[in-house]
Order: sequence, then structure tokens, then C-alpha cells
Amino acid sequence: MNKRITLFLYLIMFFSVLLFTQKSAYGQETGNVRGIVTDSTNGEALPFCSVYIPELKRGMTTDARGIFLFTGVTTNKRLSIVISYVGYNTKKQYFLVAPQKMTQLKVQLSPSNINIGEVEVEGERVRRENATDINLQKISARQLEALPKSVETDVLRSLQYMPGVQFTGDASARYYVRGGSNNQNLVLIDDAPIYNPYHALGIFSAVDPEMINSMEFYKGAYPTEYSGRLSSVLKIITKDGNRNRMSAQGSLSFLSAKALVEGPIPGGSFMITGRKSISTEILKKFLNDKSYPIDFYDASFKVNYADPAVLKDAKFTLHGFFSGDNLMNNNPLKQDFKWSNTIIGLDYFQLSDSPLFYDVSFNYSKVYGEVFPNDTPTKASQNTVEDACAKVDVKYVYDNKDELNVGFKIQEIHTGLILKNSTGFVSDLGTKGTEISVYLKYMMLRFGNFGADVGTRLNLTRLAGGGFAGMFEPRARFTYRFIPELALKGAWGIYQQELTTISDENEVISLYEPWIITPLYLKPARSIHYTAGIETEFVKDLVINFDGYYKIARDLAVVNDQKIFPEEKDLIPGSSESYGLEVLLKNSQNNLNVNVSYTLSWAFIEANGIRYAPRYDSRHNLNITLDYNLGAGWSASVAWVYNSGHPFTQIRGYCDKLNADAIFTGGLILQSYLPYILLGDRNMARLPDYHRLDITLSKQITFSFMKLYVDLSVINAYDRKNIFYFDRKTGERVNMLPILPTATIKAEL
Amino acid sequence: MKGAVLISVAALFVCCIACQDSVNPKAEMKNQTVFYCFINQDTLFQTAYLSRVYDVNTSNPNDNKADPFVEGAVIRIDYKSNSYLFSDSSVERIDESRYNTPFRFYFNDKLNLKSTVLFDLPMPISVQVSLADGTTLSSNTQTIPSGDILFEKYPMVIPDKANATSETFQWDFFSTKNSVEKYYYLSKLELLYTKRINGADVPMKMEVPVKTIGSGDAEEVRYPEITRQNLVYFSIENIKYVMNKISEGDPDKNNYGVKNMIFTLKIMDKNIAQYYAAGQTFKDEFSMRIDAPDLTNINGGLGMFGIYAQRTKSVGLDRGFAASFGYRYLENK
Repeated sequence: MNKRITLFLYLIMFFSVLLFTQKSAYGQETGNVRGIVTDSTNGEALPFCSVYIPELKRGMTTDARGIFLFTGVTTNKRLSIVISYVGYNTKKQYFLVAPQKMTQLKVQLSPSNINIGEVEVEGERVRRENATDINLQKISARQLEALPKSVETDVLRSLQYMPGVQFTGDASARYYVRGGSNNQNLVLIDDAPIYNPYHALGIFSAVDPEMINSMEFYKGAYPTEYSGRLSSVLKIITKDGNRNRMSAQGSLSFLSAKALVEGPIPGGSFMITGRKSISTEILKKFLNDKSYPIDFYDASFKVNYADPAVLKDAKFTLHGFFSGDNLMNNNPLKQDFKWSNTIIGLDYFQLSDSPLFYDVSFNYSKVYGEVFPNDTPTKASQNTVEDACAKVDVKYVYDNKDELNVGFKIQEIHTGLILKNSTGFVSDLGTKGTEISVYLKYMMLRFGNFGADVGTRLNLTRLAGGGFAGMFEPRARFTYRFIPELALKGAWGIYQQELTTISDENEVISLYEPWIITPLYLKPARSIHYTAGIETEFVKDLVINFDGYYKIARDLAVVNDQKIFPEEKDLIPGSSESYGLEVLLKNSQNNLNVNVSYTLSWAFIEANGIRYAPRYDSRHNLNITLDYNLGAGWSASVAWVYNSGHPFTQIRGYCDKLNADAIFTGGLILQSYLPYILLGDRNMARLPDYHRLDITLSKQITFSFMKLYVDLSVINAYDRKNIFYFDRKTGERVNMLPILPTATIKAEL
Repeated sequence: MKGAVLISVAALFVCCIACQDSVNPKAEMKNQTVFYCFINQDTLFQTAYLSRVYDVNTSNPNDNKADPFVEGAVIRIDYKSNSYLFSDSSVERIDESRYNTPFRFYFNDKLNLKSTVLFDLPMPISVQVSLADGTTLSSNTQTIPSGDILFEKYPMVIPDKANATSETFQWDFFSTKNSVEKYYYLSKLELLYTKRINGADVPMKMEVPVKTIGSGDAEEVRYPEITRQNLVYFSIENIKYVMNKISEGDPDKNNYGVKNMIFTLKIMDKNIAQYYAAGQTFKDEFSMRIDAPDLTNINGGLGMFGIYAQRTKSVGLDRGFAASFGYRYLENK
């Protein structure tokens, strides 16, 4: 065992001793306050609420479960706590803290259209002071709903308004973060990975926004709790379900019909959602008027049990997600495709009388994809990924506000990739492997104006096998606030990925991207992230963030596009480099919220000795979103997106090329010459700039027995002719989405 | 008034940004020369083709009507300290849809690369093309010691009674065993047969697939691909498939006569193998791939210089096997 691992084990022992021996830094005069914030109408936990104790000038935000915890709180003194959240009435509650006790609070917020006031902003400011949250975007369900709708509210498309996130156009919800490819993004539904989070050729997200409570999106240098991808983490936290009463929702758009049922059960709550495509007409607009018989569905459920009489301070959750897409042409001369996702998860979350949290979860995620060639020359293939993961996460909060996080994860992944080659032989490229990893993170939050977390993951095994791996992924993040209006933030980390898709970035549409475990002949892909940023709020209610990043990746599993013979490797090691500057401006005044983000970025991939800009690279990216509460149930939102042109390869001429078939078919080689397109240097030219304006007008109508939500949207309002791709063979310019009016209607009982 | 100005400015802005930006799919054309020469090691007559890269105003290269052939070049092949110069010539063009001039090419009819001795070794062979404008193209490869090809395993008669499930053809180089991995192979097994048409036995042949998929209208057959493996299997089922196929739908099996099968082995260097295989790749209709690799091994230009050879093996058919299909057995004459 090498020295680094020995050192790591010593560190674990050291922090374990700390965990069980460290007592209050404030002696007997302090206690702890723990609370949960919920929506008064349905009991749904409210994540990311601002929680502030004015007397102590201490603040924080609730976590994804709506929980907050203050340690080392002065005892025997009447204190107040102010809870605020956009879209809810602020609540102030008084409490007393007993020495060496855990004081528990339950706070219910009632929805309101009044914007947050002065006290809440102050609390927000305190909360931000030392939060090591660089690269983190928190998105609540309400914020998601406020964004302009592209046919429907779309979880993944909502990310495009954030700096550092690139899209390649209207026909794909695939996203690219800070120069990383699409398969480097981890998408989690309640801690379970979803391997194909798309519907309908990747045009829409497979995750129904109705099931979402909140989302956390790490654009890079993410903390040690997460692993397995080189670029980003999107964690989707689903709703618990209405704890107060049975309720139902139904909605209809040009794309799908969907329903949600939720309500209380003894000791808990449940939620069930379902969505089904109803028409493919709208898809034709996205696909250059080509008609594809796409049929999709998704469904989810969640059951929570937290009866204090049975489970003291604990919560048990069972959740599931299922989706399927079929593309059945009913024509033997065309291929058929099928995809599905299955996710089942169990979670046990336990609080204790001490400031200790632990969470034990088991998740099973399966993705299945199949290509049916029918009578076409397409090669048949089937891809399966089965991922079973058990993990334990423990968090301890010291009296001095520092936190210790440790965790253990064991993950068994089976991948199956059955391919039929052109001679009809069937080969199974599938494999299986076990990854065992542990992590440790210490968060230093004891100083009011400085916060840091330092930790590492240790991967004990490789998924591809090969015995003990012993690979570290150290990470560090910090925030230093010079003055209340100015903070410097930074993060660094090493990340590893052992699963990859056989995807070809040269394809403008690629609807079948099988996942495989990176074969043993390649090293696991590793990336290093460096990020630094400045957060400012010199003008009241105007937050301006500047973030810079530099990211390099080695041993990327790149599709060998020079592969010609079956015996040559499908994947070759590649590398990537990306860097950029991001600016985010947020302003909330009265009933108007404005977000402006700008990204200046460069991305490069190097493979087979060629360095080129990937297809998703865009030098300038500007997004402006406005949402305005017009009153009386009316609201409006506008989004304008601008991307400078994506790279493409130009034609540099034509030549008459020898048709080699003639040799082998016994034909005449002498005159067997056919015209051929010669390409220039790869991706050296740029397509025209992309820009699009989307407008949504929403109206909420309240009846005694139901609420009705009507959204009218115009996508690409000024009918910009954004180029999708240029077909070299036909000379046809294929444009993206034209102006498209859409509408959705939702009824809530 | 202020409102009207604002609205006008906004309208003008929208008009400006709503329009379609043009895209130039073409980079500036580089004047390059393209050279193709696939040496057939089994003949003395070799051809080469030299042309220029061209452009057209449209996106259809068939719109080019000017023959891009480059004349006046000196093409020289160096082999075993001898130099062979190519001459230019022309023949009547078969397809005049693009160019209505005779088809021009370069040739040499004295380049003898046949192995004359056993234990031959691959020998370097290079080409140099000197253009009138001073440009020089070059490339090189190695000869294939095809005279040393040894069929290590093949059936004496089909079906081989020692191997009930498949017929195996395996080969190697007699002299340099390791060289088997340096070359690429494309094999073909054909049934030679006759069909009586208007009272005359017309010779015909049909290739044996390595795989048949489906049946009826959805039936697909697959033939051997280029491989580096020095063996190929043909299952008895696929041989029977061809035996049945030749007379499919014809109740009078006596119209057919079978005699033997011919196994043909194409041996090629990596240049030709890659060039051929690159043209065989395809994508499904949804995966709109926009880039593909160009293959060239010509220094100073584009194109391909490679070498190939061919060996054949005749294998007889078992008389009883032929009779079991109702066919006449044709005696070797």
C-alpha cells in the first residue's frame, strides 16, 4: 500500500477521533437549533430558504431537505429566527435554546406574491458570507416555472441560461459544461444516476418538471460527495408529495399530456407523476419538417415515511422513475429504436440529538437502448447499463460551525453492448465492475468571513477491473469575503470518469449513444478543474459574479474516427483543454427579476494528433432573462439567447477519387473515378451566430375548487433563421426552429 | 413621440437580427494534385491517374465539366535499383456524363513484380511524380511475397468429410511467417456452375456468403470483409444455401451442372486495405455525420499508392453432394 493511502487512512482516523471527542468550543453555555422549513399549503420541504438569527447575526440556507442547523447558539436567551424565501411570506419565530440540547423548530411558510424585504436580504447576505458555493447554482421549482417555456418547461434546457453552459441548438437538450462533452455530465434523480435523461431524439428532457422540488447544479470543481463524471453534476430533488391533503394536477401541451397525484399517507406522503407524448407534429418543427413516429412516456413516484412514533427524527423514502421512448417506423426499409430508463431508490435519513446527520441509500438505475436495423444496412445493437449503488454519507457539525463529511460508496455496474457486425456475427462488448470509494471532507466555517472545505475521494477499485486502484481525487474550495459587498472564491479538484458513451461529436444528431465501461486498455479519464471568482453586491439587489475557469482532461475515451478495421481499437486516448470567463448579473426589484449571463470561452480536444475545437465550442454566449409579475395572476417572461457560431469543417475542393470497389468486384479499375468532397482542417470555420427570443405570458385563474394555469409562448419570436447544419452533399442549408407559438394548460385540484 | 421612436428602433433591431446570415461552406481551394496508383503485382501492365483538385460554383461536383487530368508529368517507380517510367495514353471514355474527352491515364507495361524465387522477401517500391510546375509527389510501399503464399488448410473436396460443419481456408507465407500480419486479406468462395438456356450450358458463378440473415424478402447475405486474419470459414449451411439458390424456383434441377468451387484470396498492403475499408463505413439515417477522415499516403499531394496481389484455389465438389441437389456433376476436362 503506498504512502498516500496510508496518509489518507491516518486522516480518516484523525477526523474520526475529532468527530467523537470534540466538544463545544463555547463550553456549557451553548446549544443547537435544528429546524425544517415547509410550505404551509402542502407540507413540501423548502430548500435554499434564507434562515437568519438577527440577534446573533448568523444566517444560512436550508439544505435540499429544507433543514437548517445552527450549532453553538447562546442559551437561555430569547432569540428570533427569520425565514424567508422568494414567493413566500417571511416568517419570524421566537425560541429559547437550552444548554447542550438540540432545539427543534418547524417553520411553515405560506405562499405570497410579495417580494422579499430588507431583513431577508440581510439574512441572505450573512448566509453568503463564507459559503463555499462557487460553481453552484440552486434552482427551485418556482424559478424553473418562471423561465420561458420551450413547448414545455424543460429541466435540461433551463440550464442554457447559465453562464458556462453550451447548447448546440434547438434540436437537442444535450448540454455541454465549460468545454466538457455531454457524457461528462452527471444527472441524478434523488441521488440515483439517470443515464439517458432525454426524450424524442434528445430534443426534450425525460424528467418531468412537475416532479421536481429543486435542483442543484455544479458547473465544475464540485465537492467530494459526488463522483464519476469529469465536468458537472445536476442533482434533481423530487417533491415529497402533499402532506396536508390529497391533490391532483393535469396539464396539456402540444407535446404531451401529464398528471400528478399527491397526498398524505399515515406517517408520510406520496407523489405519482406520469407523462405521455400525444403528438409528433410539434417535433417536425424541431427536425426540419421531417416526421418521425416518436412515442414516449415517463412516470415517477415517491413515498415518504417519517412517523415520529416509529422513526424518531428519521425519514424513509422509496422513489422510482421510469421512462421509455420508441421510434417505430413500421417500415422494413427504416431502422427502429427503443430506449428506456428504470430507477428505483431507497433512502434512510437520520437526524440525532447531536448535530450528526447520516444518510444511507441504495439506488438501482438501468438504461436500455436497442437499434432494430430491419432491412437497412444499419448494424443491430443493444446497450444496457445496470447500476446498483449503496452509499452512506455522514455529516457532523461542530459547535464552532465547522463540518466534517465522510462517506462510503460501493457501486456495481454491468454494461452490455451487443453488436452485430456487417457479416452478421454477434459480439458482446459488455463488462461489469465494482467501484469502491470513500471520501472525507472537512469544512472550515468557523470564521465569519472565510470558509473553506478540503477533502478527497479515494477510489479503491476500477470499474474495468485490474485489482486495487488507489486513485485519489483531492478537492478544495474556499471563500474569503473582504468586505460584505466583495468576496473572492476559488476551487480546485481532480475528477475521474470510468464510464463513457460511444458518441461521435461530429454527428449533428446522434440518437443512440451506448454507454460502456472504459476498457482496461485505456486509463480512466481524469480532469483537473481550476476556478476562481469574485462575487460583488456594491449596488443594492444587484449581484454581479465573475468566474474564471481552466480545465484540462487526460485519457478521455475518444471515438477512434480513423478506425477502419474491426481489430482496431474503438476508443483512443484523447485530451481536452478549456478555459473561459463567466459573468452573471442578477437583479430583483419589485416584481421584476433580471438575469444576465455572459461567457467568453475556448474549448479544444486533441485526438489522433489533431487539436480542434469541438462542435459545441462557442466563443461568446449571452443570455438575458426577465420575468415580471404583472399582478392579478398575470406574469410574463422573456429570454434572449445569443451564441457566437459553432465550429464546422469547410469544403476545400473536390477531386476525382478512385473507386476501390472496382478492384474487388473484378470491375475495370482504369476508369473507376468518382467525385469526392475534400474537407479543410477540422472545425476551423464558424457557422453564423445563433440567437433566439422566447416570450411567455402566463395567467393563473383561481376557482373555489381548482386553480388553472395557462401559458402562451412564442419560441423564436422574431423568426431568426438559425442554421442547424449544412449538408455538403446536397448543398442544402438546414435551419433550426422557426417561429413557433405554443400553449400549455394546467389544472390543479 | 418617444414611444414611437423606441418602437421604431426595436422594430429595426428585430428586422436586422431576424434575417438569415449567410454561411460559406467552402474554404479557399488549395491547388493540389491527386495521384492514384494501385499496383497489381500479378501483371506487368500498371496504370496511374493524376488529376487536380477542382471547385465548382454549386455544391454538386458533377457540375465540373473540365477534365482535371494533369498531363506532362514524369512518373517513375523505383524497384530493386531499377527505374520504370510511365507513359501517358488515352482510351475512349465509358461514362461521358461529366467529361466528353477521352479518358487519359499513365501506364507502364514492364514492371514485373512477380516473385521468381522462393523465400522471397518484401521489397521496397517507391514512386515519384514530377509535375511540369516543379511539384513533386512521392510515396512508397513494399511488395507482397505472394509467390510464397502457402494454403495451410483447405478442403480437398467440398464437403470435407473431416469437417462436418464448415470449410476452412487458412494461409500463410511460406518464407516469412511473421509477414502474414503485415497484410490484409479479402477472400471469396464462388460456386462455378452451368445453367442450360436454350439448350446450351451457360457458365455462371455465385459467391458463398459467410452469413445469411432472415428469409424471404427480408433476407440479407453478408460476404467476407477485409481482415488481417489469415483464415476464413464458410459454413456448410451457407454452401448449401448457394447450391439451392442457383436453381431457386426452377423445378428442373437437371438444367444445372456443378463442377467445382473457386477460392480467391486478395492480398493487399495496408494502404489499399484502409482505402477500401474507409469507403465501406456507413451510418444510420438519423446519425447525420458531417465529417469523415480523408485517406492519403502521397507526400506533397493527395491520393493513394498501394499494392495488391491475388491467389486462387480450385476445390472440387463431392459427386454425391452435387447429386443430392439434383444437379448434374460436370467432370473436369
